[in-house]
Amino acid sequence: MSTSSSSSKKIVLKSADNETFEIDEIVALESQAIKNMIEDECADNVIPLGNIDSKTLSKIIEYCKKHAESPKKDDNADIDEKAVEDLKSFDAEFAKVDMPLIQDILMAANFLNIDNLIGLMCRTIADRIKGKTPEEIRKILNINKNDLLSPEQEAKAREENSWAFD
Amino acid sequence: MKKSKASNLDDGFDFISNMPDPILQLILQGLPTTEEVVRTSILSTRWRYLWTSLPHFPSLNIDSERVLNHYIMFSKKKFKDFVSWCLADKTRDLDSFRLCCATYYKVSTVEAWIKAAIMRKVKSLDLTYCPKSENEDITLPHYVISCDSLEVLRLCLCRRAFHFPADYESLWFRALRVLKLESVYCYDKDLVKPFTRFCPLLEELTLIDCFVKVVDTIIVESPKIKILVIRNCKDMYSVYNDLWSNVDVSCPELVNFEFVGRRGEIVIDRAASLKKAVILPEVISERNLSPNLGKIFCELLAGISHVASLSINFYFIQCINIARDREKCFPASFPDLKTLEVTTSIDAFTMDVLLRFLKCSPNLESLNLIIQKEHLGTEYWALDKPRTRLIITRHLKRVKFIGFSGEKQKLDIARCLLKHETALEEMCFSWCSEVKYHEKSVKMVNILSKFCKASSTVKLISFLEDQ
Repeated sequence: MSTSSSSSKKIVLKSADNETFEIDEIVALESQAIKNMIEDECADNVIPLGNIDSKTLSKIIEYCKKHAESPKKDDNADIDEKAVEDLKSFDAEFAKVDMPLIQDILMAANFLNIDNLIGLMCRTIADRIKGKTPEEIRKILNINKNDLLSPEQEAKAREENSWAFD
Repeated sequence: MKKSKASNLDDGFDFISNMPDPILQLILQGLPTTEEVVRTSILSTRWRYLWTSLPHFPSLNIDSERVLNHYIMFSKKKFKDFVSWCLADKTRDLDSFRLCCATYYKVSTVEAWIKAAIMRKVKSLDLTYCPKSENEDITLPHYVISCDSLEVLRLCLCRRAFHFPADYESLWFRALRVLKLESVYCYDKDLVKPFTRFCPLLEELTLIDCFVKVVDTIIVESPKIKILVIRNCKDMYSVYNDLWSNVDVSCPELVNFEFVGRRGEIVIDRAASLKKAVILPEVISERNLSPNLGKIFCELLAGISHVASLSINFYFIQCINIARDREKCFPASFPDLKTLEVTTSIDAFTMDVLLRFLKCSPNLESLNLIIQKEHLGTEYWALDKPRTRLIITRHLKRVKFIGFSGEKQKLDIARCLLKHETALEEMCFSWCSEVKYHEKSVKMVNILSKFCKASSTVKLISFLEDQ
């Protein structure tokens, strides 16, 4: 995962399954959590991420790299429209993964505090459940059977906002 | 939810429900309609009241046709309470409010909601409503006009008689950029003028099926308008005539212009920035065709000959064909034209006009052909005449047949273009019917692959149109 630019500072991330990823500091700074650690100088050269596996972590690094390379909106007012389009299509491709991985990425992005990525994952989930029946949504989100409403509770919920249900 | 699911679902660990509220709220806010958000209340105990904790509905999208069972009255009342509840939080700004309820709620109820939305500094309003009785009028509330936050307004009033409020001229949309009026019938004033005159920031104006009270010409004059769409609008003239009004456009910033409707004379002044023009006039009877009218269409073309994209139709071509002084007034060149879309028949004269376009467009890249079935006669384009071959371009990259269903005549045109166009990169066939699509499409590609091709790299693409 290392890049060729030797002058920039490197950060090493270590996944739950002990794989290490060396990345440019600028890429790591996409994560507000890591940024805070670096600013508070409580980050050693290696940052252990005990709750993120290597598959998820490599996806997240892929995302951060792309976003760190792209010009930021606040850099200048008239940013290249092509760059915006490019980033959009990257995001769309990036989100084409299965639900378990989306959930892993979302949990990790939440832990690492990467706002854009949280937003992207939430929009992706919303896209996958929109227009679906409650049964289908429960399946997609893998909602635990033990958490379901009792028939009486469900009837009451439906009654409260009957206009929203068929 | 049996154990046959993917491995990490086996233990029934429910990731989403273990995420903190703000994350789940983000997911809820990504759902397109308000009722879908509300329906999540029955997913599980975790989701039961989650939607009520949304910091706010940044937008409300409510369509009574979609959500209401018209036979259950209590649902009407509950729905009303819900909308009122959503709009009640005055501390938060509202992004957009879309309400489509036709006659289902009283106008006074709808107006109270509009007012509440405006109190919350709504930026976008999309409203379809009207009084129950067809004889009842509707007046645009003055607080809509004087609203400073409103940037986008779409108003569909189901052809009820529309009025501006009294002394409306003093208060006008200061922030309005986009205005779409649909089925708004204004019998007592020129509907267009106040909007173009008093909205300083207006960039996009769309009029669909509107009635404009002018006797002569609909005038659209505005310094900032970039997009102007006029579709099937009528005026006083049309009451006595099967022709509709003339349109006179004077917008120096205009980029996109679209006109669809019974033919009137169209004049576009100061069109220097125009990039895309769609001009699809319609006519009821042939007797309205005249060489003079043809000349007017030629002159219109000459005024917009610098556009990059142009769409015209059969009637337009008919007019040009019989235009007086055609040789003199047809533009000598369309120097920037990249895309030409033509809805037409297959006849000798349409071919003649189309070839004229091709000849005058040195930079044309895409040609979209929509050949209407009703015009598929036995007489069709004289494709293999030497004259035709002489004018075939050497730069056309893309040809698209829209509304295709395997007609022989269209395939003949395809064959001719494939044979002569050396720069062709793509030929697309957009099929209009699902019936036996696959079978027919394979058969067609087989036929096409046997045709002789001037361009060795041309790709043949066949797909089904979005229904």
